[in-house]
Amino acid sequence: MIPPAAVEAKRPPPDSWLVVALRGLALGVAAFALLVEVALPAGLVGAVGGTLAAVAAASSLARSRVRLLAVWLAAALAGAVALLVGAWLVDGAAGAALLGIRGAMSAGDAIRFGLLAFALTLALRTSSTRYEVVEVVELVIVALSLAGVMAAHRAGALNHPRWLSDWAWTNGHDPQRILLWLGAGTLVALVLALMRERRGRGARVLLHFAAAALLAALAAVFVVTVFGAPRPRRGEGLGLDGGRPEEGQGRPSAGGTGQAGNQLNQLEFKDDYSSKSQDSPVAVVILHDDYSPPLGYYYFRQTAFSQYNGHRLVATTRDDLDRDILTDFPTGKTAIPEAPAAGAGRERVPIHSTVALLVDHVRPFGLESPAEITPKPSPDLSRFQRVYDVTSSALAMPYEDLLGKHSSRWKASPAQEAYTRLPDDPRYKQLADKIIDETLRPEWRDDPFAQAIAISSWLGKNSVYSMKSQHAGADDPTADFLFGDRTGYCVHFAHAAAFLLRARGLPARIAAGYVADEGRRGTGSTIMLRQKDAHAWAELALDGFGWIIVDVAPERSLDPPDTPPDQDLQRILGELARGDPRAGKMPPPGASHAWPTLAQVLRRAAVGLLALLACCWLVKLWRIGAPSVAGPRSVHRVAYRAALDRLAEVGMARARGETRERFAVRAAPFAPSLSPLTEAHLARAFGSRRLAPVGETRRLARGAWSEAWAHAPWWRILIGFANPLSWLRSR
Amino acid sequence: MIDLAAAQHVAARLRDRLTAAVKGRDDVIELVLVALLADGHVLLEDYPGSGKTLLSKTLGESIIDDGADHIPGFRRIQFTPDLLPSDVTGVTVFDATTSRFSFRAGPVFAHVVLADEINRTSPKVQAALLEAMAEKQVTVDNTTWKLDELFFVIATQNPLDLAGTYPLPVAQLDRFLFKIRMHHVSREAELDVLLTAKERRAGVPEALPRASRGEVVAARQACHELVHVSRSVHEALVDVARALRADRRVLQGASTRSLVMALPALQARAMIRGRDYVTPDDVEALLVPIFGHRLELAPGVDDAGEVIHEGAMPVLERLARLSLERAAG
Repeated sequence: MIPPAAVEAKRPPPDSWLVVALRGLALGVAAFALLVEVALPAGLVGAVGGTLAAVAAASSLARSRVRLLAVWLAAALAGAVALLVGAWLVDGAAGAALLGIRGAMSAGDAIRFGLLAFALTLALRTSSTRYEVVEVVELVIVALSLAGVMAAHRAGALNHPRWLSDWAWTNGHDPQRILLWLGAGTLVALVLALMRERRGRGARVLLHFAAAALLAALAAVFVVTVFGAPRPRRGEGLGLDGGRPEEGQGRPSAGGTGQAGNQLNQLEFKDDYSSKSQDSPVAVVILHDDYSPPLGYYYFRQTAFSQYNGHRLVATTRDDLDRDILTDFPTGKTAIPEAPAAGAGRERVPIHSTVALLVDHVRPFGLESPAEITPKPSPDLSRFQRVYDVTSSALAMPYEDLLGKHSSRWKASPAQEAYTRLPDDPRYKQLADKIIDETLRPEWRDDPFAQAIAISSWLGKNSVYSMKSQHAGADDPTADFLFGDRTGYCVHFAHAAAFLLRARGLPARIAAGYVADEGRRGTGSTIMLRQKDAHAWAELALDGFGWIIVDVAPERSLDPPDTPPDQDLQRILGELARGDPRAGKMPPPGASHAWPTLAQVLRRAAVGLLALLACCWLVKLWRIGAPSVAGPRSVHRVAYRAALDRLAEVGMARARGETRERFAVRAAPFAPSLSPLTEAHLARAFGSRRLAPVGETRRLARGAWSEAWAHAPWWRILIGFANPLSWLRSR
Repeated sequence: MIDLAAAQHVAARLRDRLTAAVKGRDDVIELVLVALLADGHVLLEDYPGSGKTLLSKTLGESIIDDGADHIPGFRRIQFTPDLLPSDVTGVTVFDATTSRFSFRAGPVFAHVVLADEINRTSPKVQAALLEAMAEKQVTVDNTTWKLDELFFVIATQNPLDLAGTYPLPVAQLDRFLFKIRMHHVSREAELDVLLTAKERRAGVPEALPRASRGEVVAARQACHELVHVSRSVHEALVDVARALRADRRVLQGASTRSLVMALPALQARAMIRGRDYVTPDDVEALLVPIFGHRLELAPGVDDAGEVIHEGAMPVLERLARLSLERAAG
């Protein structure tokens, strides 16, 4: 009879209460983190309570004789009961009638999540006390639950999770650092927890790490095959989201997500236009032809404001005006009506360019006067909302050649009337006349372009640039600006110039779009347009030349000078827009990785496995041949080893804890040669003076081989001999 | 000194006689012979009527006294609470005819001494016997008397009937090379005992040769000199002892002296089996008899054998693996 205490000693000693408490804490926190988004407070309490109860129950169950299968069945039953009762309470009418709606919801959640957590934890915990490898699963679950809480911050979204980043920012910490520490700490804690396992030493710890890695790899493959590889989010990593809408401010240049183009329709008089500079790129323009603008600036026109609405100029509502402005993105190659003609030997040359929009715009824009627009497929939809080719008619003649040209195209037509309407305020006319009279010689006083130059240069000299202006509240902001402090920004200048031109009877309008200094291009052909490059300028119609840009360049500015754009970003975006996914040099951060497909993974795994098996077979072959070539020093050992290999192939191997002599005795009816071979090996290994002769030993090894094969069925021999791993079983 | 084959022959003769007399106890007989050849003593833990006395008596009778001092081959001491040390060691008596004191030797003056139910006597008597075992001498009235070189004690105690006993402390148990826990013999062996009872009543057949005292002593020396203990076996012994000391269930592990004492036992077993080298099998077989009674186990743990097996298995497995992996040095 075996005393009961002896049976008790076989099972692991009970865990200390501290270990049980720590386990409960970890799993409880995991349950909380997993359910905090879905469960009611009662459900959370239930889940944490169920987890703790299960940990306690499992720690006593571990040392009982209850079979693991029974525990699993009980857990499955409990889970089913949890779901049923929860559904009955929450969905059925009886629960609500009994406990009230709120009570039924709470009770349902508490029972459902509590019992589920209990069942799951019990099954996991009991399994891992019986099989230590399962502890890896537990650890992974705890880690995943924490990762789920922190996952919101991925892809560089440092403002998530909000509760953490808000706290960090208000306390002057960098959440990035906190998140890094959290990640590193979790990793270290997991590694320590894995290494701390009771009897986990050496190979066992390695095995568990391998199990964890395998789990992670399987999870990754599963996620990728089922949900697909993670796609980079729009504008990710490069700050290309065009800026975020600023609440309550409605900045004209703040397009919001995807509608930044609206800004140009909304360029407005505002008191404070400059909260902070907007450096986010909104578009990239790639010039295919070398073109140096006569004014030193690239103007990209998107829209035009020509209709006076009693307050300011707005986009026209008439069909016959501003027909060179597209109201929508064309779906195919579209020639723009009324675009000035361009060609060799003319005053305008065709310039080809490609525009890639990082932020959606309501209508296309193009260099100066677009003449033709062709939509193109985006090389990377996650980055570029739209891509189109533009052929522009760009002014290629020196500006002074425009002198002496006329603006009589719409003479005595409704268009002329529309393009010359201005506020009913005599001061415009007075000022315009005064400027012209003061600055122009009499012979030029009727020349349209000379007048335009005079007005714009006078405005440039006599006004101050500032994004902070105080004219928005006036009935006529332009008058308030022009006859007031003359401090404002492009919208004021453009209106002032347009109204002054119109006061002189010249057809003028305001164009809006982007402007970029020629120097920005550097040596490349890419121009990156930013939010703050949005601009408005006045334009003058000249017969045969179309709309001529009359921009005001104020000599004085209250604002800090413009910051140059990021050249690297400009280059990278240019390469991306050209369709080079590696952006010229390096892969863009967060760009899609080349995830191997499941088939590829399997194929590679199969090849690796085959190579491994081949290596094993080589080892096996070596071990078969070794007795024939081994010298007297090692022949006893390798001959004995070869005999063990042959026996292992047909399923006869020494048990753990069995000594070699006893194995030889056990195998004797099967392979009588093993006993003398064992003796020869042991005598050599443990220092006997009487060693078996080499030839005899080899003969014995061959004898053991034939004995092993003589006593086993043929299929066993075949399988055993083909098995490249059989030698791993011999010990 | 005799050679190894002759020494093995001595052991074989003794074994043949013992197996002829005691049925179904081959394992115990081997251990007793190992202890005899390793110059150690044996503590048998067994139930009454399991053949202890027969074993000891047969062993004593199988050794021929070739000396001139007429030391008896076998003596039995039945330990009782009222026994006195002099009942064990001997007493000085006044001889009226010569008017001199003379020493009358006690029962320890024998080749094989059976100390029956050693835990039933007082510690004083136990100490007297244990001194004799450790020093191979007794001191009576300040006179020290040498015991015979062959002096071999087989002590017994009943594992269950503990009422009114004086259990031996671990320090004194240390004097015994082996504690052998005997179990009931198998059905076949027990049947064999009954079937052969008639023949065996006549004693061991005279045809079976005995061994002389001198031969046994020479065999001891031979196995000490000629059986090789490799370094890896030494390492395994130390590693097992260390593993046992590290075991949570063991309060006090095996002493270094017990490791030293284990060496001759390993050699004796190898020699009995006809080898001139010690293998892990010897270690595995002797671990429990050697260490079983030397461990102080934690409360609630009472199977020293299991503790020892668990501690020794990784060490021995490593030894086995290494022997297969690299050429012997």
